[in-house]
Amino acid sequence: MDEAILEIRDLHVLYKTDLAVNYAVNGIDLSLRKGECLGLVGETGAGKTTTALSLLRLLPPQSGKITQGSIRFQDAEIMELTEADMRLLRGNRISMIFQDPMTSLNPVLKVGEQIGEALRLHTKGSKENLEQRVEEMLEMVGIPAARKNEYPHQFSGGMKQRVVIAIALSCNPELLIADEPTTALDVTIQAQILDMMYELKEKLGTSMILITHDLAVVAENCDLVAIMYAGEIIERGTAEDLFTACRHHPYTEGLFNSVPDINDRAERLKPIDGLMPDPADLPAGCPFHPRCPKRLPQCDRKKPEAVSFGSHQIKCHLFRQEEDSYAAID
Amino acid sequence: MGKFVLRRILQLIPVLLGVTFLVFCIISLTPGDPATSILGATATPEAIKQLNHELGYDRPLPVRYLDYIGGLLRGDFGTSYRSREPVLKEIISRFPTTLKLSVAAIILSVIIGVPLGVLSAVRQYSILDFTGMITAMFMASVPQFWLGLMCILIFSVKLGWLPFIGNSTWRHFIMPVFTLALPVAAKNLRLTRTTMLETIREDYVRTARAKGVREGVVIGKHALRNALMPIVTNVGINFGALLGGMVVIESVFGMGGVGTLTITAIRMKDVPQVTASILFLAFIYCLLMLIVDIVYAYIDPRVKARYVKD
Ligand SMILES: Nc1ncnc2c1ncn2[C@@H]1O[C@H](COP(=O)(O)OP(=O)(O)O)[C@@H](O)[C@H]1O
Ligand SMILES: [Mg+2]
Repeated sequence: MDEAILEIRDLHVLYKTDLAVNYAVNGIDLSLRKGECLGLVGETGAGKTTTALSLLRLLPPQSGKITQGSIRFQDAEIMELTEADMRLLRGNRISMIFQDPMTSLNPVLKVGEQIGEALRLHTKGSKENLEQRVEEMLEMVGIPAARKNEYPHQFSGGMKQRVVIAIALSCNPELLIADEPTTALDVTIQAQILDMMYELKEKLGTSMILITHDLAVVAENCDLVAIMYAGEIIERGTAEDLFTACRHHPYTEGLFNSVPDINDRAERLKPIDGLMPDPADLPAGCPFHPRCPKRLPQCDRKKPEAVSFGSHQIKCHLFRQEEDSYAAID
Repeated sequence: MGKFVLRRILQLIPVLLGVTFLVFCIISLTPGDPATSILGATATPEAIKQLNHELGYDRPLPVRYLDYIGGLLRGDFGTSYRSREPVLKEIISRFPTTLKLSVAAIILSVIIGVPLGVLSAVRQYSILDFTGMITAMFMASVPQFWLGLMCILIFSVKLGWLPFIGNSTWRHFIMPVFTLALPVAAKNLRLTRTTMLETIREDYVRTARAKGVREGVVIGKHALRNALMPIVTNVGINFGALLGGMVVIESVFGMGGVGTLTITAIRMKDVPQVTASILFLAFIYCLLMLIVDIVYAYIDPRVKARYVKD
């Protein structure tokens, strides 16, 4: 079996603002092997984007801070790299596609120049060579090469996201992080963009973290799934575990119940009554207990340990490691 | 783009006509008459009447105005009541001083204000940011004549480093240029800081960082260019204000420019000279605003697209 290319251990991230300290990520572990695709799923505010930005050390410098944990990428410890070494990784070996294509491109630079920028930084080659690569990248994401001299405002939302994908893939990264790459797009082109991205990823052998709140997207594209809630991973496993096993975290069950129709991707997740807890004031015990329909007496006092069933792992008091069985109390 | 520029230039005509009308009327309607100002309070009423008649000032205002406009259409900007010379001649001989002062001051204000504003934004809440903001606040709020007098006091009187009356050498320009530039630099600093604080948080700046671009390039190429629009506007407006308010500095430093020319003309009720001077400044102001709009189109392709469509 291949070595993991990415190994996150006990990552803690917080944002310090004038008003509060937001505990956005609270001790998550993740690992990913070459070529694998991990789906990171959770409601808005779960800490998905924060996790992704931490991998590139791109948290807002004024407020965001990684307080604990380790992130190993290949043989490098990201937490210990210098800023200069970090720049060699960014856009080259680890790339990120951001949530909103409408604002991720610089309005005053030609799209060709924006694609060429990463190439110029990370690859050697003549000017003509570079131009040719830029044109290839555009064609690869389905945009005529002649449009490289146009500006972002001349492109539709879907085309902008294609450009963003071209930028991210231009240097053949080993790891691609796609943060809700289609949430801001029309339903009709969401599938197109995802299919294209997935195809390119397969072609280039890239590992991928796909952040989404859409279980249907995960079912189609991902090998591994991690469900995130209030900065913790409360359930993880292979896609098969998640979609076929009978044991789930109550939050995950809520997520499944909230998918009305597998084809209707526009539906925002609203799994269970209530809201995600305030990251500045997280509840004691299991963070999900205030909303949990199956809550037990100890849930508001004791943090549940992760319980494993093979590759499937759940953090919930309903399950116990030894008995290996559903211990619902009723 | 060419069409746009042409249209804007044609739009200048009514604006400038309006300016002549307002200035001409206001100056004429103020109490007093040119002959009294020229001959002094001790002159006989006959002499005053005689001179006013020679100047054509005894005719009714509408007649004089129409006469003036008629002259303008033939390219004649009028003759000064006081010097009896064509007014344009005076303006042209004085303008280089004013132009040198204002252009140098504007360039200096950008060179000082914009980089410091960028630094302040990038290092928000640092000591540098704090000092910069306090100094800028001070510079933007003190009166310019005071700043000028302090300069003279320190650098000419106390230290004897710089000359201060006249405009014969480039060293005469140092203090007035700084005095003019510092308040504008302060405004540039504050504006640059504010807009940069916004742009450095934009998604596309994060995209640039995610590509592995160096921080200096992220700021200079990706953020600053997007923050430039309000800065260019500010520079344009302040350039205009600088020309208009030049009289203070020209007086403080004893430099004969268009500003002092205009003020003297107003005092002397020299209607053709005042109207022509202000017409000239208004024309330059409008030209500056046109240049600002053209620069916009070069900075932002979205603005250019708007112009090209029609
Ligand atoms: N720049 C920031 N400053 C303060 N709090 C933030 C900032 N960015 C995100 N947060 C907080 O961190 C939590 C996680 O946010 P995020 O990672 O964006 O979640 P997701 O991507 O899953 O929607 C949220 O509660 C959010 O309010
Ligand atoms: Mg997010």
